Amino acid sequence: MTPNPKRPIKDPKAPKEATPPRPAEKDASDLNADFAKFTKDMYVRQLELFSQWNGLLSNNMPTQEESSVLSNIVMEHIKQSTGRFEEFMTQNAKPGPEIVENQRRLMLDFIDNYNQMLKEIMATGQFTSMVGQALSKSMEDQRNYEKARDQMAGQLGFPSKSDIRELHESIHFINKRLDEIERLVRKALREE
Amino acid sequence: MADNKGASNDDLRRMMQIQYALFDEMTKNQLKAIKGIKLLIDPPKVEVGMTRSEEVFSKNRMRLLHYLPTTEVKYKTPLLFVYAVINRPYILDLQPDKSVVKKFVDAGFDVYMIDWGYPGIGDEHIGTTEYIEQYIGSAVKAIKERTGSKKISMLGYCIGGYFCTIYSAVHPESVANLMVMAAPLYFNIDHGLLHIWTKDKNFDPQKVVEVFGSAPADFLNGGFSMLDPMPNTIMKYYGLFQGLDNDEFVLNFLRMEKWIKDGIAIPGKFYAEFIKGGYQENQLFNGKLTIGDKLVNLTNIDMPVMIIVGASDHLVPMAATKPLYDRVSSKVKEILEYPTGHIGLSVSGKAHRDVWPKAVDWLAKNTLTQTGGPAKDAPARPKATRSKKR
Repeated sequence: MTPNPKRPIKDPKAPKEATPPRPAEKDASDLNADFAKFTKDMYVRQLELFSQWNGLLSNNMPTQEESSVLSNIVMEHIKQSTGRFEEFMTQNAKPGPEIVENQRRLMLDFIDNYNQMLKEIMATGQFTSMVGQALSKSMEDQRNYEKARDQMAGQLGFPSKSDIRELHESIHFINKRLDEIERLVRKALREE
Repeated sequence: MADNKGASNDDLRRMMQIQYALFDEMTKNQLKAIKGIKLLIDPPKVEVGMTRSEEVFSKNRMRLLHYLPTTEVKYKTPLLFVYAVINRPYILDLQPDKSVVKKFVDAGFDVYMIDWGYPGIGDEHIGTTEYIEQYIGSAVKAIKERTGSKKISMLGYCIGGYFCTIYSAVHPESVANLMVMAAPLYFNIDHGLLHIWTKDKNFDPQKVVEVFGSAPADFLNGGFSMLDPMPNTIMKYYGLFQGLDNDEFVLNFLRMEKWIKDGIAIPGKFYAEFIKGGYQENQLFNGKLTIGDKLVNLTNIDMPVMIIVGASDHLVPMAATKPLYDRVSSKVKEILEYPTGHIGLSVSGKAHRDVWPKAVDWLAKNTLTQTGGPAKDAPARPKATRSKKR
């Protein structure tokens, strides 16, 4: 075979040149690199986020008992208000279809109606009567507890809250009397 | 990755971008929420009540503050702010650009303010008469002695307006001008949750007083926040979330939060008197309210009167303040109504743009008419006096 003068002769001992990747392979390799970067970035940010939540919650988490009480209150509230809210929305719904612009507006409308509903409920005689009775009962219980505590304090030889209140009452009336005397003295001095 | 069948690399890349954008949004929102929660749990210290003042008189826990003039004093008649006995008076001086106090000081008024302090266990026996005669009475006396002025102007906010109205009716000779803002005066109305709740036969304020000796701040705040439940609870935090990146907004929010949480107890005697004699019996307008042995007669009020009300006030509806207009015998009287709430009157930017310049002008005009011109010399300034703390 006669060597072609236009084609350079390869030196078989020369080090092999790296074969340039074909375009499709290069793209795949870039994609893999992008994905690795994306995964790593998400992972790092997630870790940062978890650490932030952890820091926040570990110092402020309610106890199991508190959580249970809280969730019971919330569940009871949701149960009671759902039916009432549905009724309210049905009664107050505007006739005809209306296109909601976006989720934010829907949420604000919902909260606005919910607020109005709560205010309506709180203005009813039933609600005010219930709150009045509950407050009254709670105050009676508190008073009984304070009586028992005062008795115990008395038995231990400590002044009770009512003793301190009595003392303050006396001081208050002495102050009032002093003010009155001061006023009379000023008046007498002016007349002189 | 590269061997996926049915999806091109471009598709995969686009999906990845969408997923990343969603994740990015979610992360940003969560970090924002964490920032907001941290801010609420451990708020940074914010400054309030920045207009410079000095204590010039005190009686028990009450302090009388005198604001240092920022300009030449133009008006001879001193102005006394009387704030409510709920929360703290710095709501009238929350920050320099939203300060009612500063507006009057900068306009050339000689301004004083009653700070009731934090009532404690010894203050349970302070009732309406004590507030009017012993406390406001002695503050007015102290101002008169300091300035040599025979009369003062009064501006009362909320229950402070109730006090100023009563004081002006009992001592009209001492009051040159009366300004009341969002003041609960007339109680015979059937709207406003506070009016509805307190009228109920099952609600006995005396029972609260018997137990606590006073109406505790938390008890009062709980009731107030329920007057407009969603805006006062969830929505304000939603608002904070929306504005977390705006430092000025956050600072304003924190100042308001500080004020809301800085509640004070109402002395038991006054609380019971106010609920029973006010909300339940409407004594002030029925001519049955007495201060000591004096019957309070609103027609004794003959000085110029300005009534400032917020159209969307949930705490004190306009109908609870406006009837004063028809009851006083003043020749100069005016109602300034503005579409804002109870607190908005003192802190909203719009109220500071539209309401307070008018109020300042009104008082300036009346003071000049009464005194025959601007003050030539600054009022006399004796040394600060302090009554003995008993």
